[in-house]
Amino acid sequence: MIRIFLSMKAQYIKTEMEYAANFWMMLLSGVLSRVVSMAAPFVIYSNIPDIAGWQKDEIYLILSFLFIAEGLCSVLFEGIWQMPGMVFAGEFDCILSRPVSPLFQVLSYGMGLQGISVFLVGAVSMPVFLRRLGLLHSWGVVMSLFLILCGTVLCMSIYLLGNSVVFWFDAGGRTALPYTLSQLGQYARYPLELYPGVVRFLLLFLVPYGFICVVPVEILRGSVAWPWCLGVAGMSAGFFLLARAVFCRGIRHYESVGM
Amino acid sequence: MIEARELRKVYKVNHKQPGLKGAFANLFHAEWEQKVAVDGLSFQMEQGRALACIGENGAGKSTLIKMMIGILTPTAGEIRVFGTDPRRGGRGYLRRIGVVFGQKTNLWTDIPVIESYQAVKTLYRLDEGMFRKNYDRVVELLALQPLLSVPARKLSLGQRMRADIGMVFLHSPELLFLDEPTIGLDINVKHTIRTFLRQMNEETGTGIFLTSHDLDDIDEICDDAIVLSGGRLIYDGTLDQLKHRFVQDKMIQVTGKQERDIRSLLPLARIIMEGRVVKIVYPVREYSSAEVLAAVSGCFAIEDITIEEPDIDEVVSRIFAGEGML
Repeated sequence: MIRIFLSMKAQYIKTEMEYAANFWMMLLSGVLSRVVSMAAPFVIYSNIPDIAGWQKDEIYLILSFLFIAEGLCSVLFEGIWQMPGMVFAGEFDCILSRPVSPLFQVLSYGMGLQGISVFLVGAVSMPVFLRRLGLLHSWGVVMSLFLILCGTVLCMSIYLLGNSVVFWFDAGGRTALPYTLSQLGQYARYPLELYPGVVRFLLLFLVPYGFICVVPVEILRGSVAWPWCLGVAGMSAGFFLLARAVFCRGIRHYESVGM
Repeated sequence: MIEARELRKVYKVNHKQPGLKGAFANLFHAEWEQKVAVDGLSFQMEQGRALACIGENGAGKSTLIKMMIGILTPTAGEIRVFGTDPRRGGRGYLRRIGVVFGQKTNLWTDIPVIESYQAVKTLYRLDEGMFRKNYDRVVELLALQPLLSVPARKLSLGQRMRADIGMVFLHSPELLFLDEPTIGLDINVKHTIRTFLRQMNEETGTGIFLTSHDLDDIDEICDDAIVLSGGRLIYDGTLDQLKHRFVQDKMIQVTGKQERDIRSLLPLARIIMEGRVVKIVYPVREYSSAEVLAAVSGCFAIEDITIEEPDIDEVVSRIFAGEGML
């Protein structure tokens, strides 16, 4: 199963590379957009030395976590974003007529090219800032990898949850919810202490982007205790199960009302 | 193999008022309407047969197919395929059937056809021997060799359909559901696909359930037919009987010298003279074929004679015009 998943992804990369100009453009745009968003903390910190006890490098580490999770999600699970279109065009019927888990088929479908560069930006910057913060030792690296894994699963689950709405509210193959969710996630790239309690709760438990990037950095810098990483793992497992349940409910709904 | 009893499917459709105002009103108060797609359908199909489902647009054909695949749940009634409910058969059931929707593709659109075939091999967990055998066969019979390295989205409609039909045979399905498999194709491709389907049906005993607008499809592929109209079953039997039941006129075409005037023997028939060829169109209710043949042999020095088979196009248009309901 994993072999076929990876071989499908390899096929998609091959296909994308056939259009060389587009390939490089997409890569470049991914890198640019992320580098620009890294410029914001740079500007802020050149005027203010300290935000709620957070250093500049720690903010960059938050961004690195976010980029890696987003990038991996986009490369590996782009199919989730194409699902509403498939449902609308009736292509979902083909998925349901194969003896393979519909979730696997959705996840293995397609590939987000920009994701590669977003991932690369994150993957390059993370070790740099880990080193600057003195965290580039074996414990820090193992911990970071584990947190990245959890964050990617969590990110995928949020997308899946948002896009599964299409089974109930099909508005021409688009629904606003997943975009809203991913926009909300953009607020989780700063220390949560900056926000009032309600927003903090929202970013941690309703749209748990906080667990993708902020909480991992808090664990690494030691502002929360290390067992919190179990909380991160629990959160991502829980959200994955929730998203999968909603997805399955959605399919059942589709089966009973679909045209 | 397939058994449907009192099958019924009702959709809930959002009923919108026309115009922007209507669309706006719908945001706050949606009105729902019940739409009956399939209404009390009962029929059977036996192992290895090829059954055609004929009906106008919106007659409920696609809904019926989707219920048989297990994509849709019937509102009422019962459907059994291989003796079990498709909704409960799960992956074991899906492995035994094959599905082709003429307007959608089962191929992965961005990757070469051969990669899609390989994906099927892995996803269906086919063993190498069986896969090879089926693969070689479809590639040969459907002339797929030149298409294999091309991504599906770059194929023409006819090529894509051939690749799609080939793919559905890779896992040796026992029963095929084909929803309008030749829609929009040119005559050569249609012919290739029909011949192939017929051959597979005869050689491997794969059952075929086919819906089509193209009545030649039905004629060339199927033995049996059901006819749907407004979700109801209006005919269930062999294709031959269907043709004969709805045929009112038949035609005999004679070439040869006329020795006596045939009009006096068959006053109710229309006689059309086209040089040496005479066409005799006679109502089947008035004359039997034997009577007509006797009259013809009495009047002509026959060089050649053909009896025209009734045309299925005409038959179906009669059915839907509401003539001679069953």
